[in-house]
Amino acid sequence: MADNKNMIEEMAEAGAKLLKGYEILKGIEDVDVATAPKQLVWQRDNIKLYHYERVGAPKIKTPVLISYALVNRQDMMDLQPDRSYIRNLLGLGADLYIMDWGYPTEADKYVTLDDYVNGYLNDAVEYLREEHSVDKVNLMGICQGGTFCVIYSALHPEKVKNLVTLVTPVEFSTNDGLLFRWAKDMDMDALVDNYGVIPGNFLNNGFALLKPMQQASKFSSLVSVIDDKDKLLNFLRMEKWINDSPAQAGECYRQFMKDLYQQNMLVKGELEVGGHRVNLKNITMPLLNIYATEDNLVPPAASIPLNDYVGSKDKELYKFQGGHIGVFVGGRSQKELAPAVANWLIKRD
Amino acid sequence: MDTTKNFFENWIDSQSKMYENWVKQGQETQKNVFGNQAFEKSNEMYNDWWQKQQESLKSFLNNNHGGDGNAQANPFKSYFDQWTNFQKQMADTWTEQGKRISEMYSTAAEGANMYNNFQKLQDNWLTSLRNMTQSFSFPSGNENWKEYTETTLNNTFENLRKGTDSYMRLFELWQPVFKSIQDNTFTVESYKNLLDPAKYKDIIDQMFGFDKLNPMRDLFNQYTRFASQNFGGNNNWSEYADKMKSAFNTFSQTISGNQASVNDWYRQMYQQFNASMSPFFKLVPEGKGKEQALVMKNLFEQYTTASQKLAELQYLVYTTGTKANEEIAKELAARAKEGNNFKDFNEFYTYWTNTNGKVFEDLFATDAFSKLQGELVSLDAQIKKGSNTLMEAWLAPYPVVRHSQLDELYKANYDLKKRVYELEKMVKGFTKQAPAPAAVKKDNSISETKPGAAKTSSTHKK
Repeated sequence: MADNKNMIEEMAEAGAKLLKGYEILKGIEDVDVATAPKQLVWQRDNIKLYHYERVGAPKIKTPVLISYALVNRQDMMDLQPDRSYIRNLLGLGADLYIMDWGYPTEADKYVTLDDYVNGYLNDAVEYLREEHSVDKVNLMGICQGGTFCVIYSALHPEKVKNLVTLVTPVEFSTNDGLLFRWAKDMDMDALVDNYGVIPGNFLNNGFALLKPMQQASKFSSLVSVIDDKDKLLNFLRMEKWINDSPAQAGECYRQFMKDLYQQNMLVKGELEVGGHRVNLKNITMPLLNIYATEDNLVPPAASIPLNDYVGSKDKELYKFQGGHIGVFVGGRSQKELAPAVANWLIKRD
Repeated sequence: MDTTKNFFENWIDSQSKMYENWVKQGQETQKNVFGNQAFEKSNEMYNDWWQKQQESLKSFLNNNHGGDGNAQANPFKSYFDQWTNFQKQMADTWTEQGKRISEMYSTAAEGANMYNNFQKLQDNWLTSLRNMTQSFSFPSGNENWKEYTETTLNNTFENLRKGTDSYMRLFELWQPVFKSIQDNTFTVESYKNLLDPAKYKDIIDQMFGFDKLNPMRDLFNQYTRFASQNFGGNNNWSEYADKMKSAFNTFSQTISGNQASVNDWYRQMYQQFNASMSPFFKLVPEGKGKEQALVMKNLFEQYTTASQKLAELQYLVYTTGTKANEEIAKELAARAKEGNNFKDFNEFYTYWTNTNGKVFEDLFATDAFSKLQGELVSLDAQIKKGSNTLMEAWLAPYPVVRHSQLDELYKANYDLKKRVYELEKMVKGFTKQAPAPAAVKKDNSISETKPGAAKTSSTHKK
């Protein structure tokens, strides 16, 4: 560097910080995520349905069923108490249930898209309908979980009161995102036939490659916060979530990647799930479609078009300034996103 | 790092090396230092620290070898409390010493001389620190280390260590350029001579995980063992094996940086292999043995192709990285001209990661990269399948459950669960549809049957 006299000082300080960081790391017993209290209310196979505990009666009487993606875990929506989309929604009066897709094992390699949408998701909806004595529930889908909710709403519109999609891909012809580009050159049959369940690490490595230098800069910038326990814990929680990657059931992965990512069948009206054609025009319930402007995993071009394909008259497109994860854990999200969603649902309850 | 030694022995080795280096370079520096007092005192402090480390280790070893069995529930934990305290003191001392010595030299002439000596000192310090952090790996299989081997904390620290290692390597790589800037001799064209390409390649290999990949060498070793066991006495095989060994030895020297040569090399190697091996397949009788040999041959072909594709990918990545270096060199030259150099290495590192990030993101968006990646992923999956097939064949004589048998079980399990689920839904549906059974009317005219009396049907009136 320009000032050579500071070279040794700089490196020695970095070394000292590293050692201090180790000391703090050693003192951390557990990295806690997803601490909002909830109860297990329903289960079939490895799939669970949880009900979040509420304080006080809900302002939104119709229960809200959240369906997160199969990739990574839903814990990101409740990463820590001061950055929790879930806690914010609860505080704003939502009665929340959440699907826990579990950790598929080799024994789950034959589970299909139909099993997830018309099986597990439908069973959870039926449970809520019976439990709350309602004909319809609110569905809230995130990313791939949102695609599941879109498919479900098209096949069972009579059971869905309001549909909220967050950073949800439906239009897969775009190459704006690297994943969309790369998926078109992947032999999905070879992958599924030979892996059975697609390992979580395989997907994680792909995600890491989207921002190749992020790993390098992430851990070097960690040195600057490593001696601050609170900041370090924030970092560790995100790390824990990032590395918590379930495998993907092979047959569901095969259809999702081939029919959607490669052939874009959903918006073309050609997708069949469980022998039933998915027609997006059958979605007639109110729709709130949220996308993130800086999303490199699900680019806006993949989410925005949903509003053009549905039959809903009451539909809204919501632009959130941020990235795929920032939508839930960013500072601005805490003040902006949950209130927007809650207010929208209250008006249509 | 000697892998035959255990963690603590390695740790001691690295400490002693660091100390020796520190002392040696310190003595060299001392010749040019006016204020010997400051240096001697810091030397004493380090010596004192080192002695304490030794005593601490002896105490630790005594407690773990024949000492009181209840001495420490987790001796490693408490030992590291001491270790980190000592290391922190050492690092604090080092920082303080560095500050004091640098403050002594404010003139350009003395600064230049000091730079050369501190360059050596710093190089040794960096190497020592890297040795130290590399030695700080948690030994697996030890019960006491479980809490450190299975958590986010250990992964984070390991990634932090790797990140720090990359940071330091980059620091080393660009030092000659910074020196050149300092000396006002840097030009955009000169950077190529100042950057060590081998060091640059190491950094890229570590970042993209190429340092862990050597499929051809591994496959070659495995295949030679397999072939030796099955076709051991045959002269053709031996000749081929010798040629392969010779080819590997000259591989890196002859084809470095030249993708066309890489492709050519793989093609020749595979053709040679086919020419040498094909006679065997005529001689080997039909049966399981031949099937296995054919699977192995296919695997070899797939590995060859995968290695070729991987080499293409690495070539793309390396050449892309050099583009980033050119941009960075231009930026450095421009800043040097304006007198607006990066204020510290952190700032440069941020610029370096941003520039490389953009260049690599552009590469990853290309059709060439996407197709190549797709081919590699597919080949990887096929190789895995072939390996599994071979493994099953080899395990067939043994009483172990094989993957294909489990697969049949999983399919049957899935089909059965689905059938049960459908039946449950049907039953639930029938239950909802079936009318409620009529309530039974109680007939009050019928008297109760007294004990001993003949039993009458409740439908018959008395």
